[in-house]
Parts: sequence; structure tokens; C-alpha cells
Amino acid sequence: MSIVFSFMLGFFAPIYGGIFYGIDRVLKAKMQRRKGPPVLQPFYDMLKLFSKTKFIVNAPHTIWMIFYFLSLWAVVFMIFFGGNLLYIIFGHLLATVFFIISGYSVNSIFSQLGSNRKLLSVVAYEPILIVNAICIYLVFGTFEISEILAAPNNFNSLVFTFLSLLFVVPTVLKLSPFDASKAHQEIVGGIEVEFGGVFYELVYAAKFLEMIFVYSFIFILASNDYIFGTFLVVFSFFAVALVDNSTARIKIDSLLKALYMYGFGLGIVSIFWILLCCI
Amino acid sequence: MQEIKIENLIEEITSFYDPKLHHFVCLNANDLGENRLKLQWIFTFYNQEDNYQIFWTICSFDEVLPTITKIIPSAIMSEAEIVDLFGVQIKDIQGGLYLDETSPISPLRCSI
Amino acid sequence: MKKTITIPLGSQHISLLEPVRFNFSCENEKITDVDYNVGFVHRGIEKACTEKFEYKQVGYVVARVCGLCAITHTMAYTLGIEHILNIKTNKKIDYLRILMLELDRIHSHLLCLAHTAENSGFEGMFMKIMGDRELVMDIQEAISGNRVQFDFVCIGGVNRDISTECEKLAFTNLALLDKKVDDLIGKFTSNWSTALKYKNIGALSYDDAFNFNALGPLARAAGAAIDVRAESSILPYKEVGYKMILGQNGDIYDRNLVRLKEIKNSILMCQNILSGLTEGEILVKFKGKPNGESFTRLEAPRGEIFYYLNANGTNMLQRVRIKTPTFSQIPGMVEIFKGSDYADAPAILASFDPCMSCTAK
Repeated sequence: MSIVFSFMLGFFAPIYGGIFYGIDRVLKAKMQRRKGPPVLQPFYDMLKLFSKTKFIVNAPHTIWMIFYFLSLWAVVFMIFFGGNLLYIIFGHLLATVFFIISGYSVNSIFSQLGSNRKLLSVVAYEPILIVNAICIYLVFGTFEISEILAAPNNFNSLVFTFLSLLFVVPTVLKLSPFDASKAHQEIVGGIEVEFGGVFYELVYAAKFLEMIFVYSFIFILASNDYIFGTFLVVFSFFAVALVDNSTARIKIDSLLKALYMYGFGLGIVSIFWILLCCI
Repeated sequence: MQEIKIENLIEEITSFYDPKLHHFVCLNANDLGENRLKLQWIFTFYNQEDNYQIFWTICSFDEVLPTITKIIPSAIMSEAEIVDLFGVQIKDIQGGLYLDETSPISPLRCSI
Repeated sequence: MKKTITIPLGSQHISLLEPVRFNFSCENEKITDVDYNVGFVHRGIEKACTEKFEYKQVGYVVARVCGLCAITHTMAYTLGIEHILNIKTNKKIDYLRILMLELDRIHSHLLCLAHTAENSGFEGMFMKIMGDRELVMDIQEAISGNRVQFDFVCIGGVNRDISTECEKLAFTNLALLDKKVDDLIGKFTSNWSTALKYKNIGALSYDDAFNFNALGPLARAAGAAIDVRAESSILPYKEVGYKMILGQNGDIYDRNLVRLKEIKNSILMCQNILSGLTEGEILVKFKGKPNGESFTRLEAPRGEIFYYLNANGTNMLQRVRIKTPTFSQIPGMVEIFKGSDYADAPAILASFDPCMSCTAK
């Protein structure tokens, strides 16, 4: 990929991420026998949010959140420039920590509970990401995305990695059943609750970037077979939407248990599977 | 229907009420005018058709009434309601559950 | 370090349909104490009934106490005033009244189930149940002409007769709904995530159901056989196939199942009524002004509803006392909340099916 193309992909990520998000909403609506919003609804929301009063609770709250957005964007740039997988994971972790600190910095019980829960969910999914990165290293011998994408397809060895990652996707994107950190009906969106206007738009756009972050993990599993990679992404996109529609939200302690047992468990299985495949 | 004296209320209800047999419907108040308030503690019997047991008494608005919340927890709602709507005083029951400072005072009382 | 945190639920909260405030004192999301305020929608309906409206109009006024059980309020009032005026209604009127009451119960139970699903983060189920609920709303609209405020019952009878097309529509929709409810029972019992969210959560024991005066599905889910339909002869429930549905554990899961099974029982009753409907007048003429008092109990979708009426021979009533199901259950609800997780609180609250418009009036 040329540098210009990579740069464009990274730079316009919040835009086409928004379109993906719009498609996601339409897909979910169709599953619920609803018509759903227009695909461009995220952008109509954006225009509306820009027109609102710029109101902040306190300066650190907003500044940490801007750090979160920018570092997440930087992570997306790193992905498109074919950077190191571990740097990307830790970059994403850093971004999430900024967001959590932002949640703690206001005197709102919902925001603080949201931070608590987000922290626990990070504790749950982060080891799975690391284990899966190790699996990818075992198969391709490198952490560099550019090299992984150039390597021949070896998806057979990575089946369990893929299944393990399917547990991470809804947790990072805060979708049912692993959406306790957002928990709309309990803590009113968690950390998101205290943002308004243009600042909420940044939190909203960060969701698009999070989508790109998790689905690119799935995409690279197919290495140089881009069509198969796209298929994997579309499949998991569909599966995650289906599960989101057909499950209730589980509590944060059940989330931890489920992710360690199945997500992390599958990651460990994956390591053994890869070693078995090598023999 | 059984008329009782307000002093004997707690004893009467305690000796009558068995949670497994009797259902406490509500405490009803009715302002009869001339500083007279009719109070009815309405009970029914489980598994019996149309069988009511009603304890009633007539008291004045100046009296401090006893509470039966200790015997029947759900009575607190009825008692708090008549405190708000009739301006009656009931021991240990605070007003303000249904009305606030800007609301009319004792709206269901006709004999102010 | 401060050990307890206070989490407010309401008076405006995303998981609430109506304004009520619970202040939960929590230790690490475990609820230790609950403070409540229920009087945000006090509208003075009892006073309006005795000062602004004549007794013939009051039936339509009390329907505005609550949108969901509007028909039950009017019915309880009407039965009370008919008792005072000594009006005897015929079988057809009674049947039509039960029909509307049971249709109302079906749609209220479906709303509660949908709301419980929504509050436990199950948006897909919420949409599905709300979609299915349209079937029964259509029947109600066809029979009464209205979707929410039916104004179907009046003193001496009912306002509209049921046409053959209505009857046909009702049969079709009820049969369809019956299948959908079977499907819902399967979905509520076999889903892994709802089991985590509902089983052994927000449980009310059999003894506490009696101690805290629990009513309606809340009591019946705990195994307590409390149902006004079985304790009142004012409407001929036994003739139309009424059956008491009981649960065992009193948790959210059992409450959902009791509601679903009651919907099936209500569908059966409606079908029986429709097939057994005879010809007859729908309105009984009456004369005179009410004088005397009456006590009326009726089973609303949420539990017992009670009306006390006192009339003094004029067009205006002297006293109207409305006691609604949620009203007396608040202390019981508070007890259930204690010891639960805050994460479960919205789902527990929705499973009570609370009605604040009813409570504050």
C-alpha cells in the first residue's frame, strides 16, 4: 500500500467508520423487523451535535476524552501504516485508560460506575488480545501488520484465534451481552453520559474508530487473502449483530467469567492448536 | 363492619390480623365535615368470595392517630397519603410523599 | 474512605416509563438501603371526581388515572356505582366487559415483559414483543374504537356492540398471538443470557408475599394464590375458563412466566367469551341518583384495584377512593431491592410492572 493511500484510509476513518456504523444500525433494525434510520444517520447526528451549545463539566474531563479520541485515531493510523501489533494493542489500551480517567474526573455516579466497569472489561479482554497476538506471531513469525498481510494465507491454524476474537469484538464495541460498561438502562451510557454537543460527537466518532480497530484484527487473520479477510469481517459483523439482538446484558462479573473462560480459554487452545499444526 | 375506638386500634388490628389469612386493602379516610373524619381500615379474606372486614371510627382532625405500619408494612402508603391529603397527624408518619411545598394544603379536607 | 455510594434511579431515568425516584445506597453496587419518592404525578383525580364531575362522567375521568389499565379503572368505578344504584346487568354485558378486561391484561402483560427485556439490555426482545402486542391492540381498537383510552364501559352496560368482523379479527389475532406467546415462553426459558439476568434475581419469598401484601403477578410468582378474580363474584370469571397461574421462586424469571401463562389463559377466556356470546341489550336503563356507599375490588393486570364510593343522593359523589396495585406494594418492592445488585435494579423494577400514575393519582 502506498503511503498516501494509507494516510487517506487513516485520515477518513471517522467518515467511513460512520457509514459502517450506519449500516450496523440498519442491519440491527432489519433483524428486529424495523425499518431503521438512514445509513447516513451518524452524520445527521453529527450536524445536530455541532449545533448544540459547547458545554463542558470540567476541563480535565474533556481534555482526557480528547486525548482518548486522538490516541485512538493514532492507533488507527498505525494499523493502516502496517505497524506493530503489540504497539497497536498497547496504544489502544492507553487510549482506553485516558477515557477511563476522563470518566473518573467528574463527580457523576453514573460516569464513575461506567469507569469502574470499563476498567474491569479492559482487564477481561486485554489478555485475550495479547494471547491472540502471540498466536499470530507463532503463525507468521512477526508482529508487523505489513508483513502479516504479505504472508500466505494460513487461516487453518488461526481458527481458534478467530473464535476467541469474536468474544473481544462485542466487549470493545460495548454490545450485548458484553455491554455492562455502557449499560444504557442501568448507568445511562456510563462514561459517555456527561458529554454534550461537539464533545459527545468525539465520543460518538470514537465508536467508529473502535470498530475499525477490532475488525482489522479479524481482517489480518486472513493475511494476503483480502477477499477472505473481507468475508471474515462481514461474517463476524453479522454474527455480532445477531448476538447483540438475541441476548440480554450480563453483569460485569459474569462478563469477566465468560471472557476468561471462553475468550481466554480459546486463546490458550489456539496456541496448542498452532503448535499441533506446526508438527 | 366493626366500629372501634381509636385508642384500641393497635390491639384490635393486632388480634385480628394474620398475614396468611387477611389481606389489608387500604386505609380510607372520608371528611364528614364539622371536624369529623371517618377512617376505615379495610381488610378482605384470602380465598373467600366478597368477604370484607372493615374497622371504622370517627375522629377529629386534632387527634394524633396511631400507626399500624409496624403490623402491616404496606399500610405506610395509605397513612402517608391521608397525612398529605387530609392533614391528619399520624405518629411517626411524615408527609410530603404525594405533595410538596407548592401543592395545596390538605386538598381533600372540606371543613377547614 | 467513604464506603457507601448513593445511586439515584429517577425521577428521570432511561429505564423508567414513569417518574418515580429510588435512591439506592450501595456498597460496591450491592444495594443496602432504598429511599423512595412516588408523588411526582399527583393530579388530584380523587378531588376532581367529587368536585368537578357528575357521577355519570366520573367513569371517564378515572380512566385517565392510568393509560394501561384504563378499562379496569372505569370498570371498577362502574361496578361500584351500579351496586349503589342497584342496576343488574345481563350476561352479554358481563361477557363483553370481561372480554375487554382480559384483552387489556394481555396488552399490559406484554408491555411489562417487553419493558423487563429492554431493562435487562435485550432490545431485540423488546422490539419483538412490542410488535406482537400490536395484534391485541388491533382487536381493542376494532372493538372500542380507540387504542389507549377505550371509554368502552359505561354505567348500565357498554358503549359499543361487537360486530361480526370484529369477532373474526379477534379470533384470527388471538390464535396468532397464542402461537407467538408459546414462542416467547420458549425464548424466555432457553436463553443463556436471560437466565443469568432473571433466575434467582429479585426474588420475593412465599412468606414475604403475604407479609408485604404483594398482589397480582408479583404474589402469584411467589406461589401465593392471591387473585381477585378468584375471590370475587362480581364478574362471572369461573364460567369463562379462568385458571389461577402460580410460580414457585418469586424471581423475575417466574414473574415473566406467570405473565406469559396468564396471557395464554386470557386468550383462552377471550376465545370462550367470543364463541359463547349471546344476543342481548348492551345497555340497561336506570333511573335515580346514587345514595349509599360501595366497596369494589377488581383484578387489574398489575393486581388488585379497589374503589370506595360514597354518594349522598346528589349528582356529585361525596368521596371517591382509588387504591391501585402499585400503591400498596412499594414497601415490598423496597424489601426486594435490598441485597440485590444495582445492575439488576432496572430489570427488577420493570418486572414489578410499577404504575406511578396509578400510585399518585
